[in-house]
Amino acid sequence: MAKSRVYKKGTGQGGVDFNMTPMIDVTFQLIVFFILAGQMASDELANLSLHRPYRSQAVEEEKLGVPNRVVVNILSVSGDRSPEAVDPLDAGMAKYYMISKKKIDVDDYDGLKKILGDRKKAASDRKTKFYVEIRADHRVAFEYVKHVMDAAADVKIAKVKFSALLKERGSDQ
Amino acid sequence: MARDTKYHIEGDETTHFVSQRKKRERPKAKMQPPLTPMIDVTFQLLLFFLLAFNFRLAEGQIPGTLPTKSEDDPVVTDLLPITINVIPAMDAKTQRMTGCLYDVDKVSVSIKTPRKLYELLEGRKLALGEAATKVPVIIKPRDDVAWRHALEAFNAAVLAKYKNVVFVAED
Repeated sequence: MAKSRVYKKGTGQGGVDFNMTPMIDVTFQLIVFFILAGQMASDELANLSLHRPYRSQAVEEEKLGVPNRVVVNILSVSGDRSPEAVDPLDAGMAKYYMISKKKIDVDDYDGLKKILGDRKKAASDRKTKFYVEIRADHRVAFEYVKHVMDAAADVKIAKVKFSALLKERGSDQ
Repeated sequence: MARDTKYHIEGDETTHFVSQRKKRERPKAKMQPPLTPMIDVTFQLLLFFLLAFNFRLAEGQIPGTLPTKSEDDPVVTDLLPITINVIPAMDAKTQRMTGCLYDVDKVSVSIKTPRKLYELLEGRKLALGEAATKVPVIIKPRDDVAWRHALEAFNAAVLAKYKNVVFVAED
């Protein structure tokens, strides 16, 4: 990192110079913070609200090895609205399935099955076992998750992982 | 430390001297790289990270297995499974789903919290002894139950160290 040093430009014109070095230092610190602390918005992971179960048994992805998977996001129609703002009849409804930014209608079971099958074929040369990661919004009804599990079982994918928030550090809950 | 005032030229044995005054007169070369483009780029980077940054809570995965749909190799076990029915609970006034009930093996008292469910599963495990972790745990959520409740049941079973946990659709 650059040294912080006050200097005078020897122009002899009496001009005042800003010392830019500390500002650059701070800016770089901020960039490093964003790179390290942040998770970039990714194509695979849709923006949805996951659940944190009691004493969550969720394990960080890095600890599970190199991923060889297809991520199926299940988005809720409730979106970012508060529970009171959602029609009770719509509360458990899913908006659509999303696989790598591709939206699949919740009634399109064959479409879902086809994509899972294609992704499995494409990943067949990988050494680790292929699995489906189900990232479902905590509000959607179980039937939508069941469709994904059924479709995965139909194309003979045996492994599944459910996304959940990690246990809070230092918490028993 | 005084600076060396002598220098040699290659191939010449003569020692040359530079006077102190001459040395003082010589202006020191100052290297000042242009900082403006670097600051520009740095701010562009910072702006990019600020906009692309998504404050997402740390998430992980709970591993599970899916049943194979082939009828050639049905899973046979002598152990009596633990069946957890996950039933949504509704508030009569607001007509909204407020939570759920975990009905384990159709016992008369339903469990309302995942903590209690975990304690029950843990208790069963202790009662069954060594073979307990091999006992199949069947989670049967009703279709309209919110996913978080089904996930809580799955998590409770994994937390209680049961190895064979499956989801089964309602009849």
